[in-house]
Amino acid sequence: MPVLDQAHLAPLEDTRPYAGKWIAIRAGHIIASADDSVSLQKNPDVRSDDQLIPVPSSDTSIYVL
Amino acid sequence: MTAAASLTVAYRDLFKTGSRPYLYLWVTGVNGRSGAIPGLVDSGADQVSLPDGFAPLMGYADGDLDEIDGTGADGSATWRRARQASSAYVPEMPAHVFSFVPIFTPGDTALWGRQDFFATFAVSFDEPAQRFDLTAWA
Repeated sequence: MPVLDQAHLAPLEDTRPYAGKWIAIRAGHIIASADDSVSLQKNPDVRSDDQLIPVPSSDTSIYVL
Repeated sequence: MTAAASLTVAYRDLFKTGSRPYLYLWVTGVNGRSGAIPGLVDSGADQVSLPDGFAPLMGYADGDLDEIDGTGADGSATWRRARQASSAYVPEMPAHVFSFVPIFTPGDTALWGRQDFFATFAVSFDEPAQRFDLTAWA
């Protein structure tokens, strides 16, 4: 069975500079960021079909969710 | 139930915080807006939970959400649960759409939980190989 990686959906760029923020991704590239999702959505550079996601805080290396 | 489709998904280090069982789902909110959301496949989560910021993007106003008491790994908390369901599917398995009533939390990671995601897919983890198998149930 082939192993799926969904690479076409993932950010191509390093997201660490945006830890704790929301980013807009288009074709794998980060095109805008903001402190919250609503502000990001209102950014005129952001299109309705861009992927909007939060970038997890990078100050933890172990997840217990 | 019978197995309808299967996928093997590699763990990934999406945010340079460690390799984990991330999976993108294509999520459609109550406003009809759709988008890909990365989340962790998490058998410890009772149901799908999403970071708070997704609520307005998916068309949920404050009045569409009820406060609930929950328990996370770091203790008890007050979260918000939607009154109306959204839907989602794995992009590579579009025939298997499932509904879920999202819980919105202050966290920064989406969790694909048992009562909705795991009720749609059988999940088998292979930690040494850093991958997991998904099997959709028809």
